[in-house]
Amino acid sequence: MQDMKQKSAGSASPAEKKIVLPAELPRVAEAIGFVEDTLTEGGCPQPVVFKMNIVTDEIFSNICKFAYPDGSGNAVIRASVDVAAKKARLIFSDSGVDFDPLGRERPDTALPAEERPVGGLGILMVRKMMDEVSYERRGGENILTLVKNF
Amino acid sequence: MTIEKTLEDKVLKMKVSGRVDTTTAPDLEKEIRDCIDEIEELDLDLGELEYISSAGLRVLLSIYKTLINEKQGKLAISNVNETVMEVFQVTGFDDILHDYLV
Repeated sequence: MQDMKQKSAGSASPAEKKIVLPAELPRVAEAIGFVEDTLTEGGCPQPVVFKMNIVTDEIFSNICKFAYPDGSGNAVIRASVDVAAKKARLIFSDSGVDFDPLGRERPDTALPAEERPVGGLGILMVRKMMDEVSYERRGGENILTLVKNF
Repeated sequence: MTIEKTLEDKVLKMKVSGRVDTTTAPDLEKEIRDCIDEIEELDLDLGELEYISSAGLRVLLSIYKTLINEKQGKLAISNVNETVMEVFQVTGFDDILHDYLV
């Protein structure tokens, strides 16, 4: 009889779930739902889940708006929780135009309301609310990895 | 997101529950814009608001500009939770809204 414990003995990383969605704004709710369900079921505390929902809204929306200017494509979200290490991780990838969201101009948060431009807020929030943010371009894909400790 | 609102004596009171993000922010904006010409004050109770994303912040900024800058009206935002407050802090909205957070 197969030793059921053998199945998890070699797996150092916690189970990661993945969703592939068309990069279209009407799908944002689904992207957030996937992240919320996966992280909650994985044992992530609610305040952290909410921050991950926020960054999902920001990143997925940006992919929808900017990744595929000449057509359409997919966005892939991978989500995992490591309760022992107290980390939640999201990886966003798309095969759109070469785009490093971290390279953008930072909004000046000292400006009064009248002078604040509209753009850049989302990435600022991602950068400040996550503990690790990294981007790479690999195999024709943009890959953005976000980690939040709890 | 659900909204409970009352409009009386040019004061619009709104309780916003749930979350304000890309999907729901347009509805929030519409609910306020529909009566913005008739009001001089907006009271927003965010006690049941779980979180807000940049889409929601843009709505708040837009309403702020109309109500405060153009109409010289009043704004009161109450019962902001920790997550929403952190969003305000990292984006500098706590400074913009400083006089209006009660």
